[in-house]
Parts: sequence; structure tokens; C-alpha cells
Amino acid sequence: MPIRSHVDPCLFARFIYVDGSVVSPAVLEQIEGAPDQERYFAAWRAQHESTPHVIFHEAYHFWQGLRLPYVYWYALLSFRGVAQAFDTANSVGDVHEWDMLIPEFYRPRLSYQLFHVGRRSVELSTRGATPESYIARAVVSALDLLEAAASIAQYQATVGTAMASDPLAFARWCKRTPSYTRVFTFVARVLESEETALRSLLPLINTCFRTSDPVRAFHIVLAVLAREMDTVDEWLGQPEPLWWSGHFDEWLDAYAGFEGPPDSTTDLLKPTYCRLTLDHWTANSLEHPLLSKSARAWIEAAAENPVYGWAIDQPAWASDVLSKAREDFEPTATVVRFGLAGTGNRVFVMSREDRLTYDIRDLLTIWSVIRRAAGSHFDPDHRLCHHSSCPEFQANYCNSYPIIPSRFEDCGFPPRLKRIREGLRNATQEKGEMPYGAPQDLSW
Amino acid sequence: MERLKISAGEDTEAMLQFVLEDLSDEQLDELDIHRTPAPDYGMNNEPITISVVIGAATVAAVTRLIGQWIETRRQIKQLEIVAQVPEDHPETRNALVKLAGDNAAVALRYAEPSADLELPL
Repeated sequence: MPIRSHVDPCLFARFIYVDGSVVSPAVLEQIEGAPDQERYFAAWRAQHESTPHVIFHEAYHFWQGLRLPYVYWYALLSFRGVAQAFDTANSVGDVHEWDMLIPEFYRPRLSYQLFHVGRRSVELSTRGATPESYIARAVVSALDLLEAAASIAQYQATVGTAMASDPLAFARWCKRTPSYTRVFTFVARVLESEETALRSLLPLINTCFRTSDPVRAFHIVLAVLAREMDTVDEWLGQPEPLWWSGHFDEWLDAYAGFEGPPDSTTDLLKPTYCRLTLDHWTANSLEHPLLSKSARAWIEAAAENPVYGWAIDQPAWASDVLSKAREDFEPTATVVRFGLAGTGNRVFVMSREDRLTYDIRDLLTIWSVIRRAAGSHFDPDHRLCHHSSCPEFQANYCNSYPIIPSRFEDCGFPPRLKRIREGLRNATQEKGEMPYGAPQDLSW
Repeated sequence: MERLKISAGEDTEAMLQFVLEDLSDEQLDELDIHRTPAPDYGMNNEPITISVVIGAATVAAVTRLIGQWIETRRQIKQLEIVAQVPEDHPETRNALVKLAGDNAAVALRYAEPSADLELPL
């Protein structure tokens, strides 16, 4: 399979893969020859212009991490799990023997079945139960919802306000553009209106990520919207942007049946069903190394300009703010790999040092090892390096380490990993505790 | 409706873009297109197509475009086609037979009219 550009939901680094065989001669000129960071940046800028859809799609995923409480909450707690797993496994000498199961990593992939059971009626099944009869079924996880949202955002940001709510234009765009449309198709069927689905789905999904169980919340809000469709004609007749999120939040308050007060869970495996808020989690003493500073900066921006508060819900109507956000809230760390046949890959990292909590090279080293050992949030084809004769290549524990030397003998991955492991061991011995409780103690 | 499920591995999207390249919006409206994305492995991924189902009143023209796309490639690894085309639709059936006959890398089989082509190959 081809290696795909992605943002993982844990570390939240953006990985952009560019197939060197399809880049323009101008880009190729920049990346060939001796390694040179400035030329690589120039190549990146040129590539940015030729594949804006991929760049936007992955940037939107990063914004989901900054703005959607569930996504932030999951990243915060699962990255703490990475630190714990690394610390625990550190007692095993050879890293190539690290092999672990981290059940929490499977939480965003947990699938529910949604059944369209009758006219504008939808049911949720979490344990495999199937209604006696149904019109359509969708198997949906939190990740599926995030992808559906990113595709609609990509469309609406691309076409602007004139066509953002036009289902025919969207259908054509979907045919021409690789996109995630399964959830949209299901919702349009349930609502019996592609137009209403297109107008409402993005704020609907984003609202549901203000809870600890987005798919469960999605079912409730969709069911209420479907039920209310006959009574909201006048409201729907008004031009966008309508305040969908406000209504969806009210419906969640009225019908969700939350099991605990807001922000009352840190359990990724069996979370109490409750609301999650960004204010709470971004003020937490636990710091996410790539998200926390940017998330707080976005909250500050929203306090000054309210459009920042809803910009990712209705991107077509917030184009000025999102244009600025593309500069101010670029992913904190982006790893770009130009795959070149014959001469080897060109890999470089762009990071915002003012938004990072730790050395990005250390973070990527730790994340490389843990995602490989756990086998989750990890595509087996994911690797940055081309040195197939390197003894590390086959095992691929170095999959996300971003500094690729000309000769594999000069690779910095093994010594950096060794230094991190020794530092962690010493820190644990000196303090008598694992250094992940408070972020300032993470002295890797 | 005639339908083709096509998988050209990592080249599937390139093949599809070739087929769609010169279509007007009105021609596009006549086609059903359903992509299957690669598995997510628990990440937020760039959508990459591993197979696609194309449906239309007739997919004979699509079949011929696929043949032209293959001609533009120096080589393709494999291209699998599952066709849901009634036996009494000779134009499309003949085009498919020609495509498979001209290209050793094309593996062609037919599916029953009731088969769900959106299931994995």
C-alpha cells in the first residue's frame, strides 16, 4: 500500500508524504542534491501549492485536536499512556523485544452500529444487536466521524459560501476528490435531505466531540434532528450560517442522559459519559507536548474574535479567520518526506519551537518506538527512511525518526534512544517515581 | 445499471482520475462512484483509494478509458475488475473481454446482479 499522509491522534505530529515521481520539476530541483534545509523548505512551499487538498485535510485534523475537547482529551491522556508504556518497557534491554498492548489506543476506533430503521428514525447498537428490520446500516467510530468532518470542511473551505450548501456541487466534488463520504450518505438518507445533511453535519459532529463518547452523542443529536425536520422548515429556510451548534448543544443537554458532571473522567477505556470542555483540559497541569500551547492560544484568539470559536464548524463562512489560522495554527510539528526512487528519501521537520514543550526529535523517537511496539496508531507501511540495508530497517522501530543521514552507519536514532532511556532510568531512580505525573518532570 | 468494481492497488486513484478527467459535470452526474479508502490503522489519514465502484447505464466507455489509461503506463502490477454487467449487454461485455485480452495484468470476473460490490474484493 502507498504510505499515506496522516496526523496520529496521540502525539499529533503531521506526516506529509510526497511521491517524488509525481512532483513538479521545480520541486524536484529543490530537493535533489546535498541536504539543505532552506531548499527543502522551498520545495515544501511549492508542494503546498500543488496539493493544497492534502495539506488542508491534515491541517484540519490538527485543528480538531486544538478545538474538539474529546480529541484534545484523548491526545492528552493517551500520550501520558505513551510515557508510562515507555517507562515500563524500559526495563527490557533490547528495544526490538518491546511488544505491548495498549487497549486505550483502540478507543477512537471503537465502532458502533447505527441503523436507519424507519422514516427519519435512527437507532444505535453497541453490542452487535441488530433490529428486526432496517433500511440502512452504518458502522461508525469516532475516527470515522473525524474523517467525515475533515472531508466536508475541505469541501466547504474550497468552494466558499456560494456552493457550501449545494448538494449537487458536493456530489460532483466527492466524485472528483478522494474523500470520506460514508457518514454523510447515511445522514442524508436518515434526514431525507442531502442539503440539510451538508449544512448540519460538520457542526453536528463537532458538537458531539464535546462529550466523552462522540458516537453515542452523534446518535442522539441525529435522532432529534431527524425527528424535528418537519417542524423546523422556517428555521431551515434562513440563510447560513445558522447557529447549528447552539441547538445541538441544547439537545444534548436535554436528551443525552449524561452519567456524570462535566470533565469527570480520565478513563479512556470506560469513560463516564459526560461533557468535556476545553477550558478544563487545557488548564490541566498535564501538558500535551504539541497541542497545549496552541489550544490555549486558539482560546485566547476566540476571546478576541468570536469567529475563532466556530470557524472549524462552518469554514466557508469563516474564510478570513481560517486563512489566518493556517499561518498562526499550523501543526506544531510537520514531518515531510519526499520519496525519491534511486537517490533516497528527503526528510525534514518543520516545528514551531514556541509551541513545543519538548525536543521534537526526542518526542518522535519515543513515539516511533511505542507505536511500533503497540501496533496501534501505526500503519505497518509507515517509515521515513530508505536505508534497507540498515539493521534497524526491518524491525522499523525507527519509523518516525526524522533525521535520515546519507549513510545509515551515521544514523542518530540508536544513540538518541539510548540517551533517552538512560536519562529516564536515572530520573526514575533519583526521584523514586515515574516522571510523567507532572510535565515539568519530563526531563528527557 | 452496469457496475464495475476496480482495484489497481496504489494506482487506483490515478486510474480513476484519468477516467474522470475529461468528463463534463453533466456526464459526471450520470455516474455513481464509490471509493473504498485504505484501512485507517487508528490514524487520521489522507484519503487513499484502494478500490472504486463505478456504476452507470453503460460502463462500456469507462472500460475503454481504462484501456487507454493502461496504455499510458509503462507497466501496471495488477488491475482487478469485478463486473456486474448483464449477459444481454454485449457492448460492455465485449469491451471488458477486449480489455482483459489485451492486458495480461487485468484480472476480470463477473458478479451476480445481487452481489454487494462495495464489500472487499
